[in-house]
Order: sequence, then C-alpha cells, then structure tokens
Amino acid sequence: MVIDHHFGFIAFAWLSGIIGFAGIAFWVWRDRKALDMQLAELEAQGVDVSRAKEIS
Amino acid sequence: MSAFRALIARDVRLATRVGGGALTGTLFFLAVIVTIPFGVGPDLNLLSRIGPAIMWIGALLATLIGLERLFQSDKDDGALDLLRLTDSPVSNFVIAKVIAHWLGSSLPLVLVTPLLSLLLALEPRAILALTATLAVGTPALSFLGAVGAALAVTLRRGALLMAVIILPFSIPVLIFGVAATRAAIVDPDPFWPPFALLTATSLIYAVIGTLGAAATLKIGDG
Amino acid sequence: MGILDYANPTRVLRFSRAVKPWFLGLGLITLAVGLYGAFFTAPADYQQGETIRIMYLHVPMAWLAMMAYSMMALSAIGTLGFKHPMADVSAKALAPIGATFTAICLITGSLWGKPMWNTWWVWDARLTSVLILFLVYLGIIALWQAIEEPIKAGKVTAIITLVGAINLPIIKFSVDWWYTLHQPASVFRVDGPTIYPAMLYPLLICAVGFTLVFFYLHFAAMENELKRRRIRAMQMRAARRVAPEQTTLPQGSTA
Repeated sequence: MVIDHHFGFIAFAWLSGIIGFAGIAFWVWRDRKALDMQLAELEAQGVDVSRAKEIS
Repeated sequence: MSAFRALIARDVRLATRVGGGALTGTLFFLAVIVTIPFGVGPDLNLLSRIGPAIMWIGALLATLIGLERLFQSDKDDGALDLLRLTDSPVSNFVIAKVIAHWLGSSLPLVLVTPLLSLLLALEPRAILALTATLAVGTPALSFLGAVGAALAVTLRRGALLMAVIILPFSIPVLIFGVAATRAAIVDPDPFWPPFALLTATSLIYAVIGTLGAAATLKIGDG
Repeated sequence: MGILDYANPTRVLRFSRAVKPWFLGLGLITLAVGLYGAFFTAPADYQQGETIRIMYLHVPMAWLAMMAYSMMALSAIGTLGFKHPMADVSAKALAPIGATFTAICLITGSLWGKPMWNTWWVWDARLTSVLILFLVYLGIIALWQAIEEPIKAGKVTAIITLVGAINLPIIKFSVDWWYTLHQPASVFRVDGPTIYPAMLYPLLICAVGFTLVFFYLHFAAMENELKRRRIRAMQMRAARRVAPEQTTLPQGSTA
C-alpha cells in the first residue's frame, strides 16, 4: 500500500467514522447507566422493579 | 354556499382585516426586500443577479412566519375539538384553511412582487418569471406550513421546533423557484423544466401536507 | 411466527438478548475482513489514487443512512396503520443512529470531495438531498425530545417521518436525474454494477459488516427505550401512591 499524499484526508475520514460509531456506542452505554441508576433509586424507594430489571 | 367555501371566505375576510395575517406578512416581505440591499451594497448588477433569490427567501420567511397561527384560532374556539369528535373529514378542513391562507397572505406577496422587483433592478423578463414561480411555488410552502401549524397546535411547546422541521422541506421549493427564475434571465437555460418541477413539488406537497396536517390535528392535545 | 408475535415486548427482549452478541461479533469479524480487503487487496483507483479508500466507509454509511430512515418509515406505518406496540420503540431508537450515519456520510463525502473535486461542498442534487435527510433526522430527534408522552410522541414523529420519506427516492435517483458533480450510481443499477470487482467485493463485505454492527446498536438502543418506558411507568405509579390527588393517569401502555 502506497502512502498517498492525500493521506490526511483518508485518515480524517476514517477517524470520523470511528468517532461516529464510538459516539453511538457511548450514547447507548451512557443511557443504560443512567437508566440503571434510576432503577436503583426506585428500588431504594421500595418499588417493585422486576419488570424493568428483566431487560438485561 | 357549501361549508368548504364558507370557511375559505371567512378566513380570507379575517386575514385581510387589519391585524390579520395578510398585512403583516406583506410588510415583513417588504422589510426583508428593503433591508438586504443595505447589507449587500448598492451594486445594481449584483442585486439584479441575486434579486430572485432575495425575493424567494423573503417570500419563504414571510409565509412560514404567518403559517404558525394557521390553526390557532380554531384551537382557541374549540373548532378543532369539534372536528376530532365528529366524523368530518379533517383533510377538507385543512385544504380550506390553506387555500384561505394562500389567498389572504401569499397572494398579496405575489401581487406586490413586480413592484418590489424594481427595487432590486430586475429586468422585465425576470419579473415575469419571478412572479410566475412565486405564484406556483407559494402553495407548496403553504401546504408544507400547514403541517408545521398542525404541529404547533398539537405540541405544548412547539413553535420554534416547527420551523426547524419544516425548513428542510422548503429547500427544494426554493431551489426550483430560483432556478426557474434564473433560467428565464440567462438565455441558454430552459425555463420550463425547473418550472415544471416546481409545479410538481406544489402538487406533491399539497397531498402530503394535507394528509400530514390532518393526521397531526387528529392526534390533538393529550 | 409473524411480525405480530413481536408485538410482545418480552418476546422481543428475549430475541434481542440472544441475538445481540452475534450481530456484534459477526459484524466485527466481517468488518475486519472487509477492511483488510479495502486497504490491502483492493487496488488504488487509477484516477483518484488512494483516496478511493474513503469509499469503503462513505458508501456503506450512505446506504445505512437511507436504510435506517426506511426502517423508521416502516415503523411509522406500523405505528399509524397497525398500532404495533413495538413500532415506535424501534423508530425512536433508529433516529440518533441514522442521524450519526448520515453525518459520517456527509463528513467523509466532504473529505473525499476536497482531493477529488477540489471543493469541500457543492450544492448538487445528491449532496443537498442528503443534507436535507440529515436535517430531517435532527428534526425528528427534536420532536421525540419535545413530546413527553410516549404514545403521542410516537404518532407525531411517525407522521413527520412519513412526510419526509419522499426524500429517499430523491436521494437515490438524484444522481440519475441531474448530471451534476456527484458520480452516478455504480452499484445498484438496472444493468448491474459498473464498479471493478476487486473493489466491489470489499465494498459489499464492509457494507454487510457495518450493517450487522448497526443492528447490534439498534437492538441495544431499543432495550434502553423499553427500560426507559417501564421506569417511567413505575415512577408515575410511585408518585401516585405518594400524592394521588396531584397526579394524572398516564395515557397509553406501560410497556
């Protein structure tokens, strides 16, 4: 593979792809963490959270 | 007189009254056309080249601003609730409201366009093309805006959001409208293809806009 | 076993938990194969040189951006036409994912366009309509955020999604109808692909890989959304127990 003098464009393009996918993955992960925290709060209040906990 | 025609007549009368939408929209249009040359500079050549675009953007903004309140009065006096409770075809209601709005608010814009074009040093062929494209293209904006107006009335906090959602769909109308006008000025470019596309867009938006607005209105508050 | 069986969220969750790791694992493996092909076995373009490597990301992103919107439109029909309970969960999960793919498509396209056409952007039909697609995605996401009540949010966004669906055929056929800057279709054509096979296969493998990863993300996001709705229902029930006079019954399901 020859290192094209347009290497910068190629690198940034693929970098944007990586950032994009990482971004979605992070969003899904962070969302899940926040929801689990809300679940923990509800459980502390004594609410029956079994239906929500069965979701992974 | 059928209910359809009565609704149109009533709304046109309301809009053209002082304080109704018609005068405000036209004044806003005028304000945009008058202000932009101050920003762009007095170069008449430049103005006549971007003139069609300025007029179209002014028409777009004036129409969108006026459309937000399209269904507001009906929400306030309970007509929307009545519509939802009975079996009346909401689509007919939407079409009547949009036609009335176009007659009351957009038609004045089209009529005043030749006059304002003189401020932008447009030549007669451009003025004719511009007026024609605005006449054919503003219905597209009105029907599109009906969806936004239905959203504004259905959502609790929806006004600015409505503009954000509707604006992307107005881009093709803008593109075809300006392209057709410019084609009329520049000799080798044919006028009819973009004009036909503009007409097609208006027809398509008439259908989609009516269905979308009617469906949104049926959802209502909740 | 039809689509109606997946009206039951519990069933969907069971399926999702079983299938998610496979989507991710197979997707990453396929991507690894495709990327190896894209960078090492596929030739450089005789005109564009190495910048053609961007194609292996840009094109699958464009396909996925449109596929995600198509799935959103199908879900919208499911919500409005059939009142399918999982349809709006699916739609809500798709919006941010599709928007991100569209953004990647626009960015990679711009970075590809600068060396190829010497401009970062041009207002040709395809670029403009993909930009409109991105704006529509953002509007739909904003709508989801703006409406509190999930059932109403589902219906309103479904309508707007369908209104915007007209953009999809325009994107697809824009390069055929208007001969401007963006190159015409070279893969999905009536006469078959015109792209060089040594490039076509890595492209298709990359596309499959990205699609599998996309499905993993979609299922993960749907699980989150289901969890969110159940938590919301539990919170409202808990609030009602504390102050029953001050709360109103929530409309719609407690899925």
